[in-house]
Amino acid sequence: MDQRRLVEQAREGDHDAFAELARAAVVRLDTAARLILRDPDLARDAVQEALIRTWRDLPKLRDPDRFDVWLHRLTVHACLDQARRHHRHRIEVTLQPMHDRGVSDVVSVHADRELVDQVMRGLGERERAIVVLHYFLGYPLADVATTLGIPLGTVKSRLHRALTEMRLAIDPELSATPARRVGGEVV
Amino acid sequence: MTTQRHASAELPEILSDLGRGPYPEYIDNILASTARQRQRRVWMLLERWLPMDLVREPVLSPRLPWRQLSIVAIIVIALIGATFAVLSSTPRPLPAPFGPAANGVIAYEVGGDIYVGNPASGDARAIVTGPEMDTRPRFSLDGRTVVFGREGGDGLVQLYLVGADGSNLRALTDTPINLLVANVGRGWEAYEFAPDGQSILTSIDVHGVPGIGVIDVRTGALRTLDTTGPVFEPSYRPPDGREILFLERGAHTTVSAIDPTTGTVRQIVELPPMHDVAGASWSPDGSRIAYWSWSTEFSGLSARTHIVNADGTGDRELPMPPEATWNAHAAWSNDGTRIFTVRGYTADYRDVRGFVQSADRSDTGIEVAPTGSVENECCAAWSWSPDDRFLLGRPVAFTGARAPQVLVDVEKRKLVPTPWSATSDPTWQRLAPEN
Repeated sequence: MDQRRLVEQAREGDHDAFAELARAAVVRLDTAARLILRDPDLARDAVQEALIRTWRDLPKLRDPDRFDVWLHRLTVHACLDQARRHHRHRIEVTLQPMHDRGVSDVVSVHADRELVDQVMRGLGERERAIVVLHYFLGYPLADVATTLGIPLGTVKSRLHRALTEMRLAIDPELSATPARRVGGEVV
Repeated sequence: MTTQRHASAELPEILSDLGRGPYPEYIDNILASTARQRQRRVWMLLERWLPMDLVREPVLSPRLPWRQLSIVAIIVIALIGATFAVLSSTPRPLPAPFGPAANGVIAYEVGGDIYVGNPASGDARAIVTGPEMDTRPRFSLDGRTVVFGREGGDGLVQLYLVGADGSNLRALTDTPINLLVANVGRGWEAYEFAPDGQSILTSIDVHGVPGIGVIDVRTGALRTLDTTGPVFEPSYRPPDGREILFLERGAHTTVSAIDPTTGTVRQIVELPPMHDVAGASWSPDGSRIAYWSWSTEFSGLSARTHIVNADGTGDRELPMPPEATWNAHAAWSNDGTRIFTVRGYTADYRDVRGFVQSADRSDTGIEVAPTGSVENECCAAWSWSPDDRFLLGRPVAFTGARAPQVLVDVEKRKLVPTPWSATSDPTWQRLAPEN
């Protein structure tokens, strides 16, 4: 059954249809939430909150074709809510200088993953949400701005900052500072 | 390889790899939760409730006597208005701060907004909305005021007051405070009104050490009490707040009380070595204290609920059947005769049920909530309704996530879902009993 029909049925209160939609989406939502929150427990809470709200407010969704956009929006906002609630548990940790990691000109895929991971950890949740919405969920920047309720220019500048961080991470010669302090989460 | 390649081609794949965890098995619990919840109706979308052919096609009908109908409608509206005016002009007396009362509304938080809802009628409405992150509403003991926390991005919390009807919203403190919210014991009650409503007790960080703060409701001034070690879970002693109960986890682990006026501290219970304590709470008349303690040497759950007299004498465990393994989360009924506990039948959370038993420790109680509904991971929050007919809980799902609030009809031993989906901690408005 196509997604539009499932959404219409779920909107009318068919929980089986909603379950099918939720199961199809949960891996993607969980991954997005983990990327934004960098904490599997908080991500789980955020996905739960988003899906419960999705079910509860589905009758308000007028265009079934916007279901995915709406679900992703609820998930990102649930992530940002979780981050706000747990902000007090954050501590400052120091990352090792990038040039200590022996980054060569030919960077392996594994190294790339680690570098992106470190840069993502160094970003705030809102910046991570922008990266995730644009690069993982594939939304145009204008839609990212709408989803997060911030100006398009702000999205562009924050994304530029994130990409600059990644460039600095890969090429330490471009970085003036040997180490950066970033927020790390403790349970 | 360049950064541009990351962004344009490989970043999605790397992000997908970075964020991927095990398959989210918790989806089953989420769906079990949504299956129990009703969807919100969209009253504003008329076409969803009217057959569309009715809207599209003109319907021929006989002429109605509009003039007579209008007169009748005006009379009915006038009568309703007069009745409402009479009722609203008669002020309802305030309830006593402790003891049974009539049930008012439940305050809860959804999406950073504060709502009040009537679980019987299903009516609910927002009393504080906006872009801010407002959380943890708690009613005053007279039921007139709600205190809640507005979270800043810096981890600090600004306390606000608002009338139960959404009126008179104001900041309580000039500056945000470093509120401590624990998920152990009754740590979820991070602040509470004094019995006279003139101050609010908080659990706060005092120069890096968990301590007790008292905020004057009129002036917003914060005063910290002089306690030595890290202290947790403060609560005013009924009926007049002349002492504040707290747990100390310092050189010794104790249940103690401090006189907020003189600062005199007295120890009520000292736990044996290698034991911890949580969830100390006063009986509604202030004569007894319930708490639960456990051995820190044992890796499984082993908590036992105790009841002790306020002077420290008569400390005894609440009885359990031999097949039970632990019990915790004691909550006193408002009349002081019964205690709700969460009881486990294994040394973990596989078989956890809710029980109500006599506070005089004369029985092992009756099961009011079955496995799966009460608590499936540490740390649920439970409270009695003002009239003692219901228990309002905020369980924890198997996933460890806070589960939506649930009601237990104590007499019928039946679970009743709340009309809303909120995972905030229980707080129920007290109203004066109706004669």
